[in-house]
Amino acid sequence: MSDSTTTTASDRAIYRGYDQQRRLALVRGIAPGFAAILFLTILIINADAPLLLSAGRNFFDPTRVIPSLLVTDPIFAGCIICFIIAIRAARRQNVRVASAFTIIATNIAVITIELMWGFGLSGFDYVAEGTFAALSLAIVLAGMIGGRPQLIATTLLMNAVTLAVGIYAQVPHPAFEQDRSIAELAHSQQLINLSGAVLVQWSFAVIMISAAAAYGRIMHELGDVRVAYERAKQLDELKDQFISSVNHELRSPVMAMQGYLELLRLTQETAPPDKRKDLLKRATNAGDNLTALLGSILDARRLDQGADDFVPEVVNVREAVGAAAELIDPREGALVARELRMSIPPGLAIWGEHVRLQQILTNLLSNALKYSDPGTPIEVSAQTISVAGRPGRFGRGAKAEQPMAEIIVRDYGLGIPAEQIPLLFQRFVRLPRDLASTTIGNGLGLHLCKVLAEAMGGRIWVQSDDILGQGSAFHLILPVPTAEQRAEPGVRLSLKRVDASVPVRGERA
Amino acid sequence: MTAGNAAYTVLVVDDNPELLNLIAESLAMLGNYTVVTADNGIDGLEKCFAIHPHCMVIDVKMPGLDGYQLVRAIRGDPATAEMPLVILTAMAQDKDRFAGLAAGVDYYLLKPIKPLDLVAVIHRAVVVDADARIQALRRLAESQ
Repeated sequence: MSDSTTTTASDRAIYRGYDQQRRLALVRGIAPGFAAILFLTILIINADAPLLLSAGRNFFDPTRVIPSLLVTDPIFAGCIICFIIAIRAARRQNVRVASAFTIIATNIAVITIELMWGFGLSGFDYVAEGTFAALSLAIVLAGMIGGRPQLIATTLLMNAVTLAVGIYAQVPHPAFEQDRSIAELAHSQQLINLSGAVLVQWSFAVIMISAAAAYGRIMHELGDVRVAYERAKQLDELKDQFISSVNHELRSPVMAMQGYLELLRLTQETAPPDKRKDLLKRATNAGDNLTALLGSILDARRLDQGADDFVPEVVNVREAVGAAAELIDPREGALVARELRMSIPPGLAIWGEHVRLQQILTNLLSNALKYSDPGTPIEVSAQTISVAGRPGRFGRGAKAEQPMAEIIVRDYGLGIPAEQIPLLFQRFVRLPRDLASTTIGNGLGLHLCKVLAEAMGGRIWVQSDDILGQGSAFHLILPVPTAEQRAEPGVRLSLKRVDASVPVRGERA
Repeated sequence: MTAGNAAYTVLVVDDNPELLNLIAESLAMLGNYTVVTADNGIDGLEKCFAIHPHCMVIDVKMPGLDGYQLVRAIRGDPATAEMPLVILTAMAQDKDRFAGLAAGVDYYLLKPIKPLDLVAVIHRAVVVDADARIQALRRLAESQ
């Protein structure tokens, strides 16, 4: 279950990555061009002004042209600066800033041009149609660089500007001065045209929305392909790791068995009978070790498939920790006796299987020993906590607060790098620094812990800051027995139903 | 080849008790060497400096001091720098082998190895190589 959510999150990250690259590329291409066009616009309208004034035509009011340039020049200059900010942000891969500044600068520029024409602020009446086209251009740009909200907001803004200009603008023309009726006719014609302008703007918006949707679908498919590829690659690496780790683990017992037998064969004439018996016994032992190793590899596989049926009982946590500490392989334990600090309420028990809890604790304790310095303490604490139950679990009501036992095994060693925590509980995964070092292990321990904990209806996770000496804390959460279960320790109940709510098998699907 | 070998001491370092015993038995029974064992790197280093064996058989993956650290420590001390060293490990990849030889060992052997093969290598290390080394040193001394 947790695996599938992390996968979805990483899928989304891939789609987002594609989309951001596309938007960055657009900003890098469009913003410099628009900035150059705006610069030319400033040159043209400022060069036009003296011509218009000297022409002395009666419908250009010199008292309006100069002040309007004083307003529009800073606005266009500001837009150019916005485009430059957008380009710099795009270079730093900052999509949010790059797209926002491009869209805002474009919108302000086209609205300014539209208002200049609409309210006769300069001599721009001869490009009236062109300015309407500029409004649509802003919509297309918002659709390409921004998301759907920016596109819709821009379209509404442009509708408003079109309507405002259409309704309130006084289009100056010599003919209007002579005949008011022509002016009114032109104005009503203009109002009718507005509806067409708004429709065209929405057509552009619809085209951009559907283009974005189609593009998004292609990106999703590309992302799926890439996720599948990454997964296959990861699986391949895991398989390689598995082969080399099994290979490594098998060599010692095979050598022991083969070696003792060979030694026996070579010395059977000369060695005393006691010696021969000893060699034979050691060869048999090595064979047993080999069988046990094969068994544990198969165990890991079988548990993965969730086929195990087991009988829960009331298990005392304190006793289980004690028993687990005894079982630690002396090869993995440190040379110096370590301080084990226990703070466990004596009565605390879980509802699970003794052997399994012990197996989990042995693994966690031996990891704590392996990955921390001799001399640092290891802490085991436990308490009862309240967890929001999953609906239907154990057949109880949905979302009931459910008491659980939390067991924490804490060491003060190396800690675990954050990016490697999600991998930690997978099969045959060992941290890169362990593969490079000489720490003993086969990458099965924590995977077994996870499978066992989930099979008992619990879970396990780790908290670690990757700071030397801060170490890591493994949290194990397991159900506690109910009053009836406590009263009847002999009750036999298949945990199959618990298995069903904890998808052990489905996690890798 | 076994007659005079009791004069040669071989120090075996391995953290797996079964293998440690097997290697010691093989060397003693088939090669007639005097064998000293150590079950971890630190113990191995102490015994090496204490008894100056003629040859060492060293595992790589061990708690505490690992095989390569042990090799570097031995090569770093002039008194033991010339000692023939044999790595015996389960790390079978080429890069491991390269790392082992680069660390300055004379032989890099893979587990599993048959007792007789191991004894043959140790014989070569303590008798043949030691002779060659002495003669090379002699030639070097004469040429100077």
